[in-house]
Amino acid sequence: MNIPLIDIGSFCNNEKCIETYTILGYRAACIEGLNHKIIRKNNFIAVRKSTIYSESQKNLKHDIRDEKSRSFIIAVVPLSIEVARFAARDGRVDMVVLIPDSVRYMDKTEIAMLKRFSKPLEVPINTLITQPSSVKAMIIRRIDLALKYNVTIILSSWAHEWNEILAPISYTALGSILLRIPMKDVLVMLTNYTRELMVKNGVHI
Amino acid sequence: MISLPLMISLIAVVFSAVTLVLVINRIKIVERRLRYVYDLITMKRRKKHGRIRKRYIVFAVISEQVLGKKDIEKAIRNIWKEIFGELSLSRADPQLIYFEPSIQRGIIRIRHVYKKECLALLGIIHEINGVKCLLIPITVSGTLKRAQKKLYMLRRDLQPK
Repeated sequence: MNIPLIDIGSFCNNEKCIETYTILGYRAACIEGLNHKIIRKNNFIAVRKSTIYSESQKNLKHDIRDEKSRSFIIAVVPLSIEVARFAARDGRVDMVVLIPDSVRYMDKTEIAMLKRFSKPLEVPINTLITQPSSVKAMIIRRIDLALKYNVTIILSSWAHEWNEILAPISYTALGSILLRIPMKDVLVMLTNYTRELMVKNGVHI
Repeated sequence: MISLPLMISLIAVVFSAVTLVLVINRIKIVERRLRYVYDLITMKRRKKHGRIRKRYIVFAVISEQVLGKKDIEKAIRNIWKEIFGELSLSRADPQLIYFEPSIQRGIIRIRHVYKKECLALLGIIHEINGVKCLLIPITVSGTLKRAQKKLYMLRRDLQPK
């Protein structure tokens, strides 16, 4: 069975990156700042994704309106409680991102809202490696809470260059170690959840 | 000439002897099993330390320049120490036992309990001596012979052109 491996968050938008994704066996990737809305190449699909950093609800609404027509996937990095709550309940937002900037606004209520509105939480895996231990601890606490509440977690690479893209086996092993869950569950995060998200937004895989 | 009653009695003696041996054996087996259960209950039987099992991870390198064996081994050890710590490194003891520069592939030997850590680590390495690179685990094997076979067989698309 050919499992569609999808990297849901990447900043790597040049030719070399797409080639690397193909070599590593990925079927699709959501790439920030892609020139076209969708690129199909040798059975590989690259779609444009937008990550919106917002402090106020008004700005977020404005940004979502602009980006929804241009991108397939919209992720929000909340920089205030108000934005975090709005992103959790708004239907146009596909994911809420957990990074050091947004970690302070991801509290228990927010996680419960994500659960109620079936919204996935995007966790860039490189933040769990590169950040200082105090920040890492804060992120891991939120991830544990999300796992406790059965919130869908989606791992992304947030690769800026071709050499930062992870091989799928390394991805699952690293995710398993960092989140303390079985490798099979991490594989589901990379395949099923991401595929559902893309299909929901009209990408045929 | 042996009479018929004597013959029958001889056969009966042999048959009873064989049956006796079988019964005794059966009793011994049952006794051994009971003793094992008793030991388990009274915690006399402890888990023995097994032999150190190893895993051989075959990996490919995609890089801008050709990398050497020493550089890769040093990078693996340094990043292991940084991420998982010194104690874990000495327990796992990752060794780059074989590296073929012409096809940029190698084999890492590691203790079997640290296989997952090693696979994760190969993904984390992005740069060796200032050269951008990507280490891709291809397969994991239990024997060196099979690992070497797979080193030359699999994934021709990962080889440098």
